[in-house]
This record gives sequence, C-alpha cells and structure tokens, in this order.
Amino acid sequence: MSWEQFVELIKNILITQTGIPNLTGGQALMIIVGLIFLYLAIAKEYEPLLLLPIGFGIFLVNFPITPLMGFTEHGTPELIRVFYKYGVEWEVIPCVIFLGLGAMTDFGPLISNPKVLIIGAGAQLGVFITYLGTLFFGFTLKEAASVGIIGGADGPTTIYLTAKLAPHLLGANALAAYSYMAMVPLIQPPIMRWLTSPAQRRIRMRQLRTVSAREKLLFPLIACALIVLLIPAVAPLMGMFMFGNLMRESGVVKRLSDTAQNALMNIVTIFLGLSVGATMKAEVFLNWKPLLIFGFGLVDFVICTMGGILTVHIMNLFLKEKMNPLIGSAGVSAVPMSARVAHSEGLKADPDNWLIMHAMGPNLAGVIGSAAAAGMLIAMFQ
Amino acid sequence: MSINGNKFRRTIWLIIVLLILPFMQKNSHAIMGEDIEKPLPEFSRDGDTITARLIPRAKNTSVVFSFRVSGGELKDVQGIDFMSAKTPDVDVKEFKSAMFAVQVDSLTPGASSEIVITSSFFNISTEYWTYNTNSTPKWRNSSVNPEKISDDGTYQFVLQVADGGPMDSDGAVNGSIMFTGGPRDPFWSYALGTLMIRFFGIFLVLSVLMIGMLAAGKIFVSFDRKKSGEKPVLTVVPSSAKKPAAPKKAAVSGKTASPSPVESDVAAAIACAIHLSGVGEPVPDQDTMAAIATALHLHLTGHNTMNSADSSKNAPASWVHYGREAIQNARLQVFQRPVNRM
Repeated sequence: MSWEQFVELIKNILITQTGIPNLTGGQALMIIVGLIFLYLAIAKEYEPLLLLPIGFGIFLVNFPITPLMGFTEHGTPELIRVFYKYGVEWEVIPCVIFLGLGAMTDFGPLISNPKVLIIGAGAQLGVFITYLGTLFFGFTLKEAASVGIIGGADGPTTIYLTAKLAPHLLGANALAAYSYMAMVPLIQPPIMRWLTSPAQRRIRMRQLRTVSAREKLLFPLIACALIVLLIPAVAPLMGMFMFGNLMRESGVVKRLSDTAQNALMNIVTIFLGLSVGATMKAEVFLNWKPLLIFGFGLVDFVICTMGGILTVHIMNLFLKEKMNPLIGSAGVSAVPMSARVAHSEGLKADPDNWLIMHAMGPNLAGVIGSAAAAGMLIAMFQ
Repeated sequence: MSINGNKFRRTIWLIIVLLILPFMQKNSHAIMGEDIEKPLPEFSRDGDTITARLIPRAKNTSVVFSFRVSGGELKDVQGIDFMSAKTPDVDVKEFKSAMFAVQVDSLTPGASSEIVITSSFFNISTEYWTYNTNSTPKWRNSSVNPEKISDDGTYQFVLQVADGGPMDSDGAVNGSIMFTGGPRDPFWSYALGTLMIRFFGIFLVLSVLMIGMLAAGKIFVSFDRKKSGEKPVLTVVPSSAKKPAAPKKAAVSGKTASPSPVESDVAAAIACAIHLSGVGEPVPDQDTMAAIATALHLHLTGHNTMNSADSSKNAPASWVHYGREAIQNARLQVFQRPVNRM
C-alpha cells in the first residue's frame, strides 16, 4: 500500500466511520440542550424520572451517524427506533403508564366529594384557549390540539395525544409538559394569590366522609363505563387507568398491582424517556415550533390554573358550604404536586387549614378531565 | 362572588384578549416546517367512475370522493397540491382535502358536461371552489350547493361546466374540459365551533360522572348505615376483653341505628353523667359536663392508648399501670366530688 493510498484510507475512515467530521452546529447545540436537561434533572431534581432519560436521549441521538433512530438497509429499526415504534408509535407506553398510575391512585378524596369533578373540567380551559392561539400562529388543527393538551399537565396523556396527532412535535410537547409540571410550585402560587383574597384562602372545608372499600372497588367500573360510553376515543387511556385502580382496590391481586405500580412503571418510564428524547434530532427540532410550544405551554398552564380557580369561585356562588378556591389550582393534573402546592398556600393563609385531601379530589378530577379532553380532541379528527 | 373586583376584572380582560387575539391577526403565519398533513390522494377507476381515497387535513381516517360525468367521457382525475395554486386571498387551511383536476373528453366543442362529485366528507356548509389561471380572480366559488343523497351523510355536487366556459381551465373551445378545483370548508368557524362543543362536552361528561358518583355515594352511605344498624345493641363488655372498636357515626347520632358495644369504663362515665344530671336542671353543672366529656372522649377514642398497650403485650409495662392508675384516680375524683348545686 502506497502512502497516498494509506492517507486516502485514513481519510475515508475519518469521514465515513467517525462522527467528528460529520458533527454539525445544530447537533452540537442539541447536545448542549440535552446536557441542560440532564443538569435540571440531576442537580435541580426537576422531574428526574423523566427528564434524565429524555435528556440522555437528546444527548445520545444527536451524535452524528449513530445507528439509533433510523432503519437498517433491510428496514429493521435501530435500537431506540424499536422502543419508539413499539412503545410510542403503537401507543403502548402511555397506556401502560396509565395502568401504573391507576394502580397508584386512591380515589377516596374524589369519591367522597364528587362535586370537584367540575373543577377538573374547568381546569381544561387553557387546553382550548391554547388550541386557538396556536392555530393563529400557523399550527395545523392536529398540531394545535397536541400543543393545547400540555396545559392538562398530564405527561402520558400529552404523549399519547401527540403521538396520535402530531408525532413530529412529540419531543417538544413532552419536554414542555414535564418541564412545566416540575415547575408547578413556581408557576401556580402567584396565580393563586392573584385570584384569591386572604379571606378566601382561609376558607375551611368540612372533613371528607369515609369511603368504604366496596365503594372504592366499584368506582373504577362505574367511572370507566360512563366515560367510555360518552367518549369511546379515550377507552385505551381510561380503560388502563381504571383497570390499574381495580387491581389495587380489589386487594386480591396484590402482586399484579405492585408490579404495575413499580417494576412495570419503571421499565416503561425508561423506554418512554429515551424514545421521547431521541425524537429531538437537530434536523427535526431546530425550528420555531418548539420555541412556540414552550411559550404556549406556559400560557396554557397558567390559564388552566386560572380556569380551575375561577371554576371554584363560580361554584361557590351556588354552594352552601363554600370551597377554598386554592384547591381549584389542583384541577390541572400534575399529581400530587399541584395538590401539595394548594395545601401549602392554604397553610400560609391559615396554619391550621389542612387542604391536602380536599385538593387531591380536583387533582384526580384533573387526570380524568385531561384524559377526557384528549379523547374529545382525538374524536374530533376521526 | 367575593373575589377582589379589580383582580376579577383583570382576569376577565386577560381571557377576552386571549380569545380575540387570533381574530385580530388572522392572516399572519409563523415560520413553520414542512406540510406534513398534505393530502395524498390515490385514484382508482371502476367503469365510468373514478374514486379518490385520501386522508384530509385535520383527519386521521381516510375519505372517498367519487367522480362521474354526464355528457362526454371522464378521462382522468388527478390530485394537485393546493400550495401550487395558493393565492393571497385564499387560506389553504380551508381546503382540507386535495385539489382535483378533472379531465372530460369526447364532447362536442362548446357543449356542457355535468360533473358529479360525491363524498361523505362534504357537509351542508361545504362549497366547491374552482381554480382557473385564465380568469381573475383565479379562485371562484362555483355557487353550487351540495345535495344530501343519503341518510349516512353523503352529499354530492352537480356542476355544469361548459367547454371553453369560465370553469374550463384550459380556456379553449376544443371538445375537452379541464375542471380544476376543490371543496372548501370554513376553517375558523369550524375551529371555534368544535372548540366550544368540546369544552362544554368535558363539563357534560364530568357532570354525568359526578351525578353518577353522587347517586352511588348516597346508595353506599345508606347501605352502610343499614349494615351498621344490624349490629347488636348496647352491650357492656370489660375493656380488657375486647379489641378497640372504631366509633360508629350512627351510634353517636343515636337516630335509628343501635349503639355499638360500650366498654365498662365508658359505661361507668355515662352512668356518672346520668347520675349527676338526674336532678332535672336545665343547664348541667361543670361536674356533669366533665363526666359527659369523659364518657364521650373514652367512647370516641375507643381507649386507644390503654387498649393498644393491652393488646401489644400480655403483661403491660409499668408505665401502662401508672397511666391507668392516674386515669382511674382522676375519674374517682369525679365520682367522689360533692354535688354542688347552686
């Protein structure tokens, strides 16, 4: 082999088989974005369970010529593409996460005070206002619907709806949803204080009645039947959610319930995070849409919080026993963070006012409300 | 509403501004990526009819358009990208399906052909717009209303197109018609209408669920009350002989349900209270109230402190004995205190 041939070979290897000469500015930028999310997850502990795998997915997939998110010459999907295809594209993972969430959820606070379901509906206000706003900025109807659902503050629902309607926005929508969910303690309190007077924040609510085990057992069946009858499009999410809850409340399949809550949930979270992160390749992600999505996501979240609080104000006009409007902010899902925020704001106004269980009701109503909103939006495009 | 007036007004204004913002700048468009919802029709021919199957914008399911003609021969139908015919006065968002180029041949020059386009995608508000590069403006409403032809929601447009007429885009009297255009649906009214329906739909769904839960809750509460009513009536049992029982609401209210079993020391305190209040004074004195309070406290707490110590070990610890003795002495003082009637 001559020296020229040797140099040529080295050059070929460097160009075709290593990443360095193929690294673009956009990819470098996305790697930095990935590192920022890793920092937020590790150092700041913002939703680390999701942001860490998402951050690493962004970091990993933006290295050039990596066999991760493409297809081989024979059409076989590469590693993370497999996770994405069978987990997200086939809509398996969000539904499995709902199964785990159902197994984790105690519906007692909602069953004992069903009126708070209306708060869960009112807190979807932002979903629809954002939907209009994004249309105005040139988003298509499907994109607008997928961005709007961010305000529901329900990660799996956002991913489920976006994968169905606008898969190219999956990364941005999921990141916006989880980022704002992590920032609930920063976003919500000023709005809560703005929309309530000190006297309203001090309103004490009557202790919730005890809910029998039988009632809790029948709730998933009744709720599932009613919701699926009215919005069949939400059956995959709601069905899994209520199935998980039935396993929990039946008490006869503790092993299954435990698996759904822990092992299964953890496994799918890993694949979900990596898959979502891996959708954010520089060539797809670097345009105006993700920035707009982050902006609209914040507005969405704010309006949803306002919607929940205003709904309580309106309900209080008709109720004999007034509700503390702070619990309205928990109408966005973000379980249980937004309920905790409502509770801590209540404690600031009155150190003896324990709102946590009262706020859990709207919080759970928010989960059902955001899933119902997703179902409505899916049905719109059928 | 007792919400602060200024804050409330500001909130309402903010919501109004957010709601009307989209209409203030209707024609502005952001810098967006590729058009991923572009409809891609697939055509097939069955005799004299050509059908196009496509997934329209804002839909996840495919729809079918059927084309046939009366007068002349339907030679071909092709799909055209709306973006290629985009003009400033037309919003592409309003054309959710593809634009079609229908070619009709074998006509007598200058004759007319009836083009019939059928689809379940059309509705009462759909308009069929034609595109002709030789006319000004290029886009025109055909002004033909859709006719409903079946109960499953299928509509059809019947369009009379003259060879060389304004809807013939080849512009020549040559025995052939090139009819270009597509169905148009109002975008913003659809977006707003569906928005309102779906937002209130969520209220409706959750209200139905709420009513169902309220009804189920009432049934369960009354069922539980009945069940607790079947329990044995007041029975005095030694506190050491039974486990602590959770207080029953029905027993406390004493309405219809029978009281739950009462332990001996609770019964003693109740007896004390009855004794002290036996003189028939309208307002009980402090001792009576103390005895009633003791009885209620012991009953409602179910002797948690003492019984938990009892049940955890067979031989109670010395502090348990001490505590029990202190409690008994305190009760004794209530019993031994002279009744002070003023």
